[in-house]
Amino acid sequence: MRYLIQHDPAMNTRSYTWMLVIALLINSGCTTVKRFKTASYVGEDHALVDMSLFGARLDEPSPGSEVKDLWDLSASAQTQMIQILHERYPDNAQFTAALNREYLRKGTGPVTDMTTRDLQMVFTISKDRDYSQLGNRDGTFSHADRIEYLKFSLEIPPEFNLHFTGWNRYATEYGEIKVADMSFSRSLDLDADLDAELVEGGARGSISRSEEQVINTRYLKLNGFISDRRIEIEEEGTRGTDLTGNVTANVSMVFDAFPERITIPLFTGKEWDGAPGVSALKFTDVMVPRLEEAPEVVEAALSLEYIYRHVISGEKTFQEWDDRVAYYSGKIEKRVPLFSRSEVVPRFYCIGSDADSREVIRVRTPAGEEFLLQFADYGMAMRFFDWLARESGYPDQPAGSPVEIGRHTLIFRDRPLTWHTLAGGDPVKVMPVYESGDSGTSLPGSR
Amino acid sequence: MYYLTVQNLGKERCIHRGEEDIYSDGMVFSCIPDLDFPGGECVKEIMIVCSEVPDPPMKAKVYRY
Repeated sequence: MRYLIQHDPAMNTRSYTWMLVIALLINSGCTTVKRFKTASYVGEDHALVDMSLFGARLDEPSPGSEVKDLWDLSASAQTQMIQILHERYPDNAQFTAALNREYLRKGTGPVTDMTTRDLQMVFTISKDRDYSQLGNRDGTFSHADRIEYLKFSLEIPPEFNLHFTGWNRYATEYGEIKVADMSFSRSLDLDADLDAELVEGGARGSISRSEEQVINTRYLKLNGFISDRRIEIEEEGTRGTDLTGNVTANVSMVFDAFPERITIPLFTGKEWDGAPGVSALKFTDVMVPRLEEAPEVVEAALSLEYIYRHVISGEKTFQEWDDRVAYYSGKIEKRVPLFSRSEVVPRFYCIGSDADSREVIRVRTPAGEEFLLQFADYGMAMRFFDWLARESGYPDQPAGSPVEIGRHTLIFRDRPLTWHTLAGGDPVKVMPVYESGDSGTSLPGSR
Repeated sequence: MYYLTVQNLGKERCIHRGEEDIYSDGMVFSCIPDLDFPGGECVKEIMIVCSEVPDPPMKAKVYRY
């Protein structure tokens, strides 16, 4: 660029200054540290983004592993245990070793609260990739499009007595695509000669600017909110960060409670065939989830609001400063499955018959209370069931006498259960208390 | 004979029975008993309170047989 100034030197100096200012402005205007070239809001389009609950896993909180040894027992229990160990292990070394064994381990006893659960959810957010619209000025897809903002919530319907209690953690996962480390350098040289009658000379000016960017530098905002029946997650992406991807959320939940009483048979002593017998029945009350119905699937309401950044032009470059942007907003509402019935119902087992209609064995206490004879797990139920089967086959067992354990009486069909009923009457078997597809195990020899 | 039942996880359980229909909203019963229940005609639905877990109240049915 060369200018010849032959008349007014002052005017020439002003022109030179103006050129410098204009060049500075031009250079500043060409910066790449911009969000877009132009932006406008177009309107609503609810089909650009989709969201689903990719997976959900319901786990019971893991119990601690607190261990108790002899010295944690009460004074009377310590005395009794030491006496027993002294009789069983006369050898000093064995006796000393027995004193240091672990006798109780927390978590191995019956769980008394089954109403709390940890729920891990993986949400998948995807965008519509309609390549047939590429190059279409009126279309809504280009390579540079991205989800710029989203807010989604998951709400538990009121018919389920289920509540969020805690937010364990949440994490967002994105694929990392590093495009390049880019350096931009722009310069403008000015060279002006002054050739006037009184003044002769020249000036040289240079304006340069350099920028360095890492494309796809990740910057992300992630906010979470939790209330009794609702969790909400909000995300905002920045340059080069598309919010398409997976979001994992871990929450703690609690059901309203419903009481159940489970039976713990105490196996002690030796029976006629060498197998242990049941000397007493103990009971413990546990809390199970309160759900009046047991739906196959428990669903929640998923809602998503998003802002979609559609690039009208400038999509050929990875940087966004040259994009002409059209913004769309959208909303999605759907119901998604959270967990199935089998993940909620307690796996208790009882003994009874389901030949014609479902009939189960109950327990009657000395006080006249009557409740279901149910066990915390299948193994315990089978062990008690085996004992019943053996006892009913005992030759000296009075056939018509009721089955009594300690001061408790077993009840079947609203009458005391007799050994005769077990030995030759109706078939009874181990059955799940709540429907879970298990057909049960029949009493040997039963019909 | 009147039978008072509650339902949980799809399973109906009789928790009380009596000669007379004494059942009304707000009454407190233990929800642990499980009595023999022959079915019958449902005469009304009420809201009871479980003595083991008082809150929230629970829907219950009264049957006559």
